[in-house]
Amino acid sequence: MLPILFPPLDFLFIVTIIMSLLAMLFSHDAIAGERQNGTLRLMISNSISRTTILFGKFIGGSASLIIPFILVLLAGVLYISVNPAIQWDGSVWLELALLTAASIIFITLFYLLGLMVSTFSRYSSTSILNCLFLWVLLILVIPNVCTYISASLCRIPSIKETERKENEIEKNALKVVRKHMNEAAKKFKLKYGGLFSEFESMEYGGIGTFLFLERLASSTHEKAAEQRAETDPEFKAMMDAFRMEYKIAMKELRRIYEELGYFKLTKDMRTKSIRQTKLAKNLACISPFANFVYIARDLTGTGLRSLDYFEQIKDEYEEQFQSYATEKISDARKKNPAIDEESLLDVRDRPRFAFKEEALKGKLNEVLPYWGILVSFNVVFFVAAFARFMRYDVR
Amino acid sequence: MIEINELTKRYEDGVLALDHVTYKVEQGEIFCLLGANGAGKTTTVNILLDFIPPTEGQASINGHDCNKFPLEAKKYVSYVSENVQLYGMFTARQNLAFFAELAGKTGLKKKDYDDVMRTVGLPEKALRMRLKNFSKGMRQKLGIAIALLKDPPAILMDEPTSGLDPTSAQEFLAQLRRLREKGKAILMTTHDIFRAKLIADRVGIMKQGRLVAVRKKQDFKHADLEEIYIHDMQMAETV
Repeated sequence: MLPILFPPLDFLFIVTIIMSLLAMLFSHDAIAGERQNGTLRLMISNSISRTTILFGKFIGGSASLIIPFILVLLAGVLYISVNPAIQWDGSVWLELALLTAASIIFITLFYLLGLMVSTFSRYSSTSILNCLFLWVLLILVIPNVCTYISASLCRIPSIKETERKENEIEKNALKVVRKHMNEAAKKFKLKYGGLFSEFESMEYGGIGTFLFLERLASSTHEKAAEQRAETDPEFKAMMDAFRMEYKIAMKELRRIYEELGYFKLTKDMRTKSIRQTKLAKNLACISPFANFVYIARDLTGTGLRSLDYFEQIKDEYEEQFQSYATEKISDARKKNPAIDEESLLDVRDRPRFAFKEEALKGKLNEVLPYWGILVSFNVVFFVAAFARFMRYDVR
Repeated sequence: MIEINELTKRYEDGVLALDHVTYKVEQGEIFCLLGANGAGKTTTVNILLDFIPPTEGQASINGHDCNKFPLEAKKYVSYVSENVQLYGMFTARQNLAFFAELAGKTGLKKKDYDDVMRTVGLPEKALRMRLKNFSKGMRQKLGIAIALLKDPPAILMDEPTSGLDPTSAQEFLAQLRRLREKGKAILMTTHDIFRAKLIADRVGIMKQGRLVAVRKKQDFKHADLEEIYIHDMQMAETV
């Protein structure tokens, strides 16, 4: 219960919230603070280039954040490697190494952002305020606002709304089809008389009974009708003609469904939902936080992509099971034609569902663009800090 | 050693801070720049250290143009500011080591630090003290110690005696004399006419960005420098 009330700090929280904030706190006064204290003048009065100073600030500051971070991480790794309850294979270690590399890029990104803000500020106080504003914007505001923007740009109907529409179409279509079948029944009554009455008493041999009776006919009636058709050719001809009418009714039902977009409703909802998620995901890429979250979640198999991957594996399994079942029933019927839907079959050789983690290569292909965006942010912030510091008034 | 040639600086807001100023500071000479606030004294120092670029003219140290080759020029100069600001959480020794390394002096030994502290009149135990516990006088002395460790041929001082108590100021002047004896070219900006008279070999009087007069030691050795200063200022106004 307690972890639900107070969730434990996880790796993602530590890197995205704590380390990013620490990085900005470390770098916000790297330039403005030195200027304000007067040490920047003394530093630059020596034969040392501004480029060297900026690189020094970046390397020194980043190292003071990354070294303790790596040490703590190594302590965790040591615990995992000596704990017999945790069995990690090579690919998981590799994922951890990649996640660590992404974390380092993320931390340096926020350090550089703080450094850049510092070069645009004259005082530490304004620098820290600007840094905190940007931090809130990038970590909290942008990722959340993007989901709202995406929801308003790409609206999806609610499940209730979709179900209501489906029920309406179903009701209208069934009304038309029932009318068709009732008219057919009247015609058959006129044409076949008592024979059709007998057929009626057999619940139409189960043909389209869910339309008339709004339930399935019992298998006893179905068998009785089949047996009657085998012995009486006239009965058989009537039954086949009635089946033909039923086929026409079903064709009409499908046509109405297609015309009113019955099959598209759920599919549309799913497509729009995917589109909305994709849009929100792409929009949020302007926040380094979102990019890092995508990398971390996709690498560790806990993100949206993993859900898609699971769906894909599940669909494949369903298809595999479906073809197995069809083949199994057809084989069984070849051996024994009396086998019907209620007969029991031995399915011990059925395919089993086994979830296998996605290969690292696939995950890497997915996270590489986000990785590229994080690196680009680093480059942009450094270049901006560099360009500004070259013209920075040290007085 | 320090050469200013037709140096002009006009700020972006249109203020003319320096107006075709020309002078030289030779080795073993102390040149004091006197003038009111906004006369252009600090602007000159800022251009010499490449903190700001000149609008016209040149400033050079040891023959190296301060604007075109600032890193080369700054190899030959040390800077002591009005308020020597160092890292408060570091000890004096750590500050000395840091700035000495920036000046390219690596591998300094304890003896080097002890010597320089003695030279500037700071007790050896001060080496282990954090800078936040230093008085302004002690910080100014440590600023000179940093300049001495670099040991360049030229030193720029921007109002270095401002805020110093008389004893510290006396010690500071004694230190300047020793540096002059070592052949250093010293350019010092100051408001302090009394101390300028005591220490300067030449005095440059500045007004509104112009160097209105340069007086040699013999001009003010037995005269009242304050009167000369006021006279030169009034003459500049008349012109």
